[in-house]
Amino acid sequence: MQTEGILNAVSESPERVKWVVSGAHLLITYTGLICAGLIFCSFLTGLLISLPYSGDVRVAYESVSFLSTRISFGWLLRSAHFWSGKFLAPAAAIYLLGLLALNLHKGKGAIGWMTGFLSLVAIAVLEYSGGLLSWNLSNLFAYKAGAAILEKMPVVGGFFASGFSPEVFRSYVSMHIYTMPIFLSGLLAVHIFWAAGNLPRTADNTGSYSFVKAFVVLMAVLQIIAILSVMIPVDMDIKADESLGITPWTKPSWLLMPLFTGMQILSDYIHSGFLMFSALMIIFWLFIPLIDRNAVRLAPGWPFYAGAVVFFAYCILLLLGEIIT
Amino acid sequence: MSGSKVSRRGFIKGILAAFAAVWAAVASYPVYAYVRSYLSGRDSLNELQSDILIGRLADVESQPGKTFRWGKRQGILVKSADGKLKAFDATCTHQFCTVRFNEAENLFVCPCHNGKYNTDGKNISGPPPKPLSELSLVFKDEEVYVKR
Repeated sequence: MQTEGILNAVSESPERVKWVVSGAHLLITYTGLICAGLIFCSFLTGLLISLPYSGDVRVAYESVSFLSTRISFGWLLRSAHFWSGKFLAPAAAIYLLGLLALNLHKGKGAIGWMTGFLSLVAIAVLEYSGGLLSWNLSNLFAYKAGAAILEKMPVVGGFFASGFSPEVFRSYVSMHIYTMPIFLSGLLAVHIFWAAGNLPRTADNTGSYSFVKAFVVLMAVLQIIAILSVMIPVDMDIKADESLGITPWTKPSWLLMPLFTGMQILSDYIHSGFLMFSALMIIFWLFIPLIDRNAVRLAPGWPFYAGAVVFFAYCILLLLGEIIT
Repeated sequence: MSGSKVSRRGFIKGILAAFAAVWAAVASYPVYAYVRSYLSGRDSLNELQSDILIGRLADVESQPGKTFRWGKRQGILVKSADGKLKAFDATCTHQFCTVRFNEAENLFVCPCHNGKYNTDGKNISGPPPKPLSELSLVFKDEEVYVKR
């Protein structure tokens, strides 16, 4: 009865209606906006700091040192790039959890979910490859801790187990500066196109009030990054040197210490079976809109099936690799 | 006195626009200064990435054990047993002290734990676990450079 009254009131005077959405929808809207702000900051600062950067392992450290000490505000842009990257993965993960919690991954949301999920994977790869680029001892330590885990992975593990060379370094540089940003841009373009048509508005049906809120959120994100970059700038550390190896005095910064310690412990105990299980879980979550029986299904076209076949072929290869090794 | 009224929403938008303009101006200054500084400092960057000049060949050959800066570390020059000029990273492979050339013994000696290396950089005595890293030399117009 009450609902009927409300509906009547809405139809009689629609101009007096203020549309609002639930708190859960606000969570994804604002974490999405925070991600947008962080991605904008990462791309802009990344583009600028890539200008003087050299992908040659012999002078990579010197070029970062030049950027940080000899170019005006180079230290600030490098720190802003670092901090925006650090917050991006957690913000994107919260955003994706929000999509799941609101069932927005189902039906038409499959495209949004899959592009969002792959973007998170691309962000993780960017994070891992980016650490190595400044070529200092802490970051080499981080790389080795990660590689010690990844080399146990069948099939792709060989790449990480093959040791380090200038060519490997160059491939990471190319991955971080060209391949992954292009891949991520494509995914984000599809995701934003999807979000514009499918995500609920945050305020009234004109969208004007939500614009103000969105603006405030974006400004706040950029402001926090700016403050962190000034208060806690990224240091240079000591130049990495393969011949020195990992020494007892090589320690990552306090911020990354728990993560690296965890990675070291993991690398001692982890089995390739666990890694294979993790890979299967990633694939499962990527395809959850198609696997979930309660989902309002799209009729997937051939690219969906082709993608699934590629992923499952990879799983089988992992399995074979496991059996052979 | 019937001036146009500014709505609360309009007022907030105006304040935000003014704030954004100030913020954009403040934020764009570092970007502007950075690009300008980068463009004017490109030559130094090229220099940084090029080979390091050690000195004239004749002078270098007459100074066995001559040291030079190599990035943040030291390099050291010596004539090897076969008479070739060679350069090594002067960092001892044991505890990373800087080795010195002992002309009387014709060896590199580490002052920290008395590790010794021959003129080919090979560890021959004491605690060093492996040889010194050899650096590549380039000879151009009677001058010696070490490759980056």
